[in-house]
Amino acid sequence: MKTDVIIIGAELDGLIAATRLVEYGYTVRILAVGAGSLHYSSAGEHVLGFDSSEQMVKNPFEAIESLNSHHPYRRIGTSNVRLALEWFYKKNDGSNILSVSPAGLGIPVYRALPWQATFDDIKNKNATIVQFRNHGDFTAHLASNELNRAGYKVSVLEFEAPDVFSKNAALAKSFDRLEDPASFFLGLKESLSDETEVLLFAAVMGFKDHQRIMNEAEKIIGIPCREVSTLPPSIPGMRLDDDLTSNLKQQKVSIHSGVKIIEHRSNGSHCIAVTDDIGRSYEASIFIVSTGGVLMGGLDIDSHGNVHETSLGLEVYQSEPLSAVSVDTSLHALHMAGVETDNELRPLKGYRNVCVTGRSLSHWNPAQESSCEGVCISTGWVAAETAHNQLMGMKNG
Amino acid sequence: MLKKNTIAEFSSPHAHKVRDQKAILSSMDLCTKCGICDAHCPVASVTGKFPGPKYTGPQAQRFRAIESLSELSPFLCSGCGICTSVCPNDVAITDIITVAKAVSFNEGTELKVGQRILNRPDLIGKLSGLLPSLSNFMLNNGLLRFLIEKATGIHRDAPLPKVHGPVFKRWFTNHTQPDGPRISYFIGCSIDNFDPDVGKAMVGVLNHLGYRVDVPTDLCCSLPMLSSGEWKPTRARAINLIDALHPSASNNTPVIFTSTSCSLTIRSKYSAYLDMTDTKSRTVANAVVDACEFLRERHMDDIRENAKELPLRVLYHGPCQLRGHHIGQPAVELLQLIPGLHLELSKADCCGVGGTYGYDKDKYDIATSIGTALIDQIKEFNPDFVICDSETCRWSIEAKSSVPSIHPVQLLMQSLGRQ
Repeated sequence: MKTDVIIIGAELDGLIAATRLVEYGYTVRILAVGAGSLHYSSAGEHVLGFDSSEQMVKNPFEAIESLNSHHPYRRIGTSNVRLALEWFYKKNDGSNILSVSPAGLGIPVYRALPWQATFDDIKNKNATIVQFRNHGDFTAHLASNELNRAGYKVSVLEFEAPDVFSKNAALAKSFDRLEDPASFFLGLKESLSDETEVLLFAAVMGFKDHQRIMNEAEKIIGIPCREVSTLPPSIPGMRLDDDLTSNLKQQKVSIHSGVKIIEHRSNGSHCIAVTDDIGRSYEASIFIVSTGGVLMGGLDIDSHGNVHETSLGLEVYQSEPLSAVSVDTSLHALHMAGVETDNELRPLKGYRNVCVTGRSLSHWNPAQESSCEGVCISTGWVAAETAHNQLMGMKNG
Repeated sequence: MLKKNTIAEFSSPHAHKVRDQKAILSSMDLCTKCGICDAHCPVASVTGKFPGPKYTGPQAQRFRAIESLSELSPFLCSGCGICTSVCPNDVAITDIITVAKAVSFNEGTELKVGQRILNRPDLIGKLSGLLPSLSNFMLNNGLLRFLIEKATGIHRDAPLPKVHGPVFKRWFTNHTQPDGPRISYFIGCSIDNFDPDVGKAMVGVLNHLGYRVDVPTDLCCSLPMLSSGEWKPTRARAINLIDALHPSASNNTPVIFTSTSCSLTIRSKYSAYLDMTDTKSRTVANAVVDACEFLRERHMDDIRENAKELPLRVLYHGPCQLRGHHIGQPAVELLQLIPGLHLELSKADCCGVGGTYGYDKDKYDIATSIGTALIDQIKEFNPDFVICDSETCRWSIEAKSSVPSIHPVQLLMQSLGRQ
């Protein structure tokens, strides 16, 4: 049962670390309570959208220097962030683009997902947003009103979806099953005004067969088709989660769901095994904590407003006790709370063979910075490098 | 020959999470309404009739706690358990829905005749096993199946298994075994009559590893009754089964299961639904271990050393109930030890059949739509075998894909037993 590495949690950072470690040829086991927060990830790949003075960022790498000195990006260093993102996104030009949010606002992303709507797509064009009837997770008028206010030409077309579903996932999967997508898109084309130059859909155009569906849409309708993200659970995030987990399973990584780690055994300086809430033990040489912070239960707040790390009981940095009275400052303090680490992501106080990644780290605020995927990917990548170095060290005695 | 294994303390590390009915229902307060369960529910993604696990589970439960509701939605749940397994907050969603079914049933919701029959697989087995060839003729006769559908609501194309008669027990009685450490094997209501080859392969693998196998009982775990809400008659049956398994369990002997659903029932559903949390029931629950889980934890090295080449193409589909065990997919780790095996993994979450859910004429189409992704993948890959740990999934997959479907231990036995 013993593996080289155990990853606690199925967050983006953990899946990235696992993917990287499998490339190196290590055995990896992932232990998670349930699905990870990629399901909430609404609008693609945020690396650094806003700096500490809340100004919109054009080049994320140049803006890293403006972040607080304990920030995960500063800890692991800009060059590692670059390497990690280049490895994952196959892109290194360092610039953000503006994507269209569900409310029609501009959100800086490092790379647009395939078919993700950006402001460049709708600039000086007549755009139409399709509102599928009964689709409760998306409101086209919210986006169109905001875009019209900002000077873009956007109208809304109400249309019957292929099946009566109100939720994103069911709609997306119904597109996968659609027997004759061509005639569906032909019907849609006939309802469009001739002036439409670009067509925007809610991001529900297929789940596993997304590419096929969007290719078919563009082929039949004959104009560029794009997707605007929706309320969560969000299909673009779920697609990425599905891609990563399916690939890991094919690479022989075992993913155990329903496993909540609450105890561990150590020999003083090293963690030897972790134990779940029903008493099962899992041994490994390296442990990576990718439990997703407060949102996913990796960090917990007690009734005194103090934050705790739930899986290994690691010491947590926190600027002030949280309070329900001063919500604004507390919310920021809550985001900034987490485990403090060295540059290799090992906890400052704790075991030498443990790494902490993503939202369980301190000193960053994904909501304010719009940096969630970037920090998760680069810390996951660095944790894998740290694990690799340590495992090589162990092998060489 | 492999080295003999002694059975050390096996039961304690496997103690399954004990949640009684009160704990199940109060887990509704852990729900943050994130909707991840709805996004993964196989039923909600193919029919608009089912409002989804979030509503049917924790959300409606708040109202059920105040007044009794007249509702149909719990009965559309297939009980696959995927919602519970993806929930980031550990809400026992499937169990909440199953409790609602039972409450509704107690308050007079009629259960179809067909479901009542399907709820007693042990009885079906005993009756059909008397005259296997007549039973198989009847089950394959289109006109008869049409009449059965009219009378009972069991869909004419429901993937009922082939009847073998009491084949396994007859074989086992005359089977010579090594004189090694003893281990118990649970055959339930299905191995003897419907799935004798799985039983023979399991005994074969355990013998190969040096164990002497006991078969303490052929009683049924009563899962179909539990999951369709017919709880009153279940308790006595459950107590009988616990009594039958207790001698081996209290002797620190693991009880091996090749059915992921029977093992899950005894491990966690007796406590969840019937509040059976007494010491005796817990002793038995803690001795229960899935076949592949046991082999993964005890015999990876033995199997690695002794597995012989099998140049086959196989597709592995992990059944939904396996998620409820929280053990990942141990079969995959074992099958990877077989040299020459071309192993592809299922990309589908669920085969759709949901135990006896897909047998009902009103749910057959839902189950078929759910299963389409898996069947399409099987047809495209065109394997020699589909490998799956659960019997009802195998029967359904075999009926719909025409590819023979076997349990992982059957493939292991093929590999270990090769000369």
